Amino acid sequence: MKLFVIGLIVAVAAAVVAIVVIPRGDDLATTATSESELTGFSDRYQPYSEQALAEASADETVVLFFSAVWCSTCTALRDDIAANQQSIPEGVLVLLVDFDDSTELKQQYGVVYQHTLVQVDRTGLGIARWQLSRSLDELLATIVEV
Amino acid sequence: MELLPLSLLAGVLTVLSPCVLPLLPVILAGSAAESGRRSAYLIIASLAVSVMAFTLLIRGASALLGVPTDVWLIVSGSLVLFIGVTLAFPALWERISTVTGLNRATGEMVDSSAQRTGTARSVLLGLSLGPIFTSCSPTYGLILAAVLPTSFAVGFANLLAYTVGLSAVMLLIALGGQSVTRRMKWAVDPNGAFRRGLGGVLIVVGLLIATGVVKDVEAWLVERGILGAVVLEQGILDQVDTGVDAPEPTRLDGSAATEPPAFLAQRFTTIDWQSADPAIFAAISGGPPPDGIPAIDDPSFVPLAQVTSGDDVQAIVLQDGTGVRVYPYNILVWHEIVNDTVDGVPVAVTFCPLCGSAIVFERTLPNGTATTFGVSGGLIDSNMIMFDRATEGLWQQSTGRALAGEFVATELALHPFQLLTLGEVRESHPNARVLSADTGFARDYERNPYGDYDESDQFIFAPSTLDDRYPAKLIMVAFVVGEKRVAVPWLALREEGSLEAEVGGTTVSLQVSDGELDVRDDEGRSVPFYFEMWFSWAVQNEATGVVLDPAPR
Repeated sequence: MKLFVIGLIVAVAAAVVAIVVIPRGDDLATTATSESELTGFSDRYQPYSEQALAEASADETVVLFFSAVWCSTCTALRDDIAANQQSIPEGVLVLLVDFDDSTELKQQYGVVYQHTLVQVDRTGLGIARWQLSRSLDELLATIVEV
Repeated sequence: MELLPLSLLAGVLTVLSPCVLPLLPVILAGSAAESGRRSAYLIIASLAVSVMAFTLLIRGASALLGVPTDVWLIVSGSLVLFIGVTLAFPALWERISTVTGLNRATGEMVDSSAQRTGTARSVLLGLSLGPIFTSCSPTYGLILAAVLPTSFAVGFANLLAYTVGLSAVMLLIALGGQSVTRRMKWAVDPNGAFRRGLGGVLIVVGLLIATGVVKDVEAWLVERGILGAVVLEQGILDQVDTGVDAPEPTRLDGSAATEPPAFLAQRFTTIDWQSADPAIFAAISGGPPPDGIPAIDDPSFVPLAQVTSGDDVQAIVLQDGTGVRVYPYNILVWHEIVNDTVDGVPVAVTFCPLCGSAIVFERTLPNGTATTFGVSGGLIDSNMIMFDRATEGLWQQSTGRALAGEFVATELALHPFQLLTLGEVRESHPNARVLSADTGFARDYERNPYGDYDESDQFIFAPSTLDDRYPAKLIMVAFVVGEKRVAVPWLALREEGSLEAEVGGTTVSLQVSDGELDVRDDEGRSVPFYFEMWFSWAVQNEATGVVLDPAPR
């Protein structure tokens, strides 16, 4: 029993330390975490940054793709988008967000699942949220009317 | 086909995918280190409980969204690390126990202490893995994304099936690990090098988890196309008709709902929702179904002398020829609407307990039909949505406005009344007739089902906005002059006795005598009024309404 109690104390202490030590602000400048992801982007498909979002034009539809590097269904969509980005239509911009490293964005749009898509306007105002699109086509077909 | 068996299968298949990477070594080492199958069962059972709990907490709800992923990794990793230390350095652990006085304090026998330590260790180890378990199973994703939001019960059942499948395989692995250990005679010694080595494994894995390296390893595997059973599982999902459709995107912009809530759509099938006021789409169910709170359509009255309710009970009081009719709150709170005819005028006496709104409407529709009203069970910002039985239209009580049905955007006419206590009625209207507690419904009219809601700072359904100019539940008297909607703090007005003010170019005068209010415009015409809690009035009128304060602070 005492081991159990001490174990729980360890867990709580670890949580406190973690919360204190981890800087609160997300690193929003770039969220892609591996070299291979940094390649294969274009002006219609980029890693998320506040600047990339702000540079979208007023009539552009922006889709934030929350994706974890260890998430295999996400990987399938990432690969599909990367391979077909020339078919992303004018007026659509896909921004890749790292699920594990974007607590503020997750809170802002209520993202609980590692493979989530959030349609926003260029001011960052949320328009719609959905999960688990498997292909670029499916993603584009799910975009809602504003 | 049902999703349930697929969920079970998905749980089984998950063991082949990279996401279980942190789980496998912990479970293998943890169960091999303990003697007896019991510990394997304990580890897996705790793991299952933890996975269910944290899935619902972290992935099924947004409450813990603010906790960065790293925190969960550090919590889990530290626990695994801690358990590893107790295994690798049993002497150190003993000393910690002794120094902290836990040994003496608990006064346990050495044997039972050792056994309990094993039990606690197993449970802790199982629990430690829940926060970091994130399945990459598409079925698990489907349950979270499509099933759980529509039905908690069905979603829960599928998650359970998934967890059972996952746990079953994990149990086989744990038991397998143990039986291998048992065959190695030299490994059995509880203080031996083997056991300490397993502790070392746990320390390393704990560090890998806490530092997040384990996620990088998973990512590395995934990038190299090692997706495990995900492709197979996705194939099965595509082949089989699970009866679960991908859900519509959730709207995040204010235009959110464009459909009526299901509980209203199912009951009010004749309504053309296209023409409805979008405000109705934000309605939520207060709990009881339509007519679940029964309106009184056939009220009977008793002489005031027969009424035993206390002097402080509030009541809506209507002039009826030369006498008055009294509708006490202790009865209204259970029925919310009384359809009556007073002085030849068909009226609906309405009271919404959650927003303290007491309003008497003339229940004649714009087409001249006299209808009766019922309680729909829907609420907008705590305010009751009524329905009329003649045309099945929906009306908001606090505004008297039709939100759906034939008469959308029209408003019911207000009928004059007073809000008095029974004590005041006994003083000034001794011959009054009072709504009988013999309503034909079995209700305990001595009990208020909302408890101390009127006085409490708490809400049952939090309003969408709060205007802090006054306490949320302060009762206001409200009326309309020209186009302006006006509210006055009722108790302050009662104390002050009178108030004169200009509203939109019209001078209104308010007089209170013996608790009875009279509101007149500048041509001496009587203005009908009603009562409502401040928050509820402010939700509708914060921007354009006028507040008159007889005793401004």
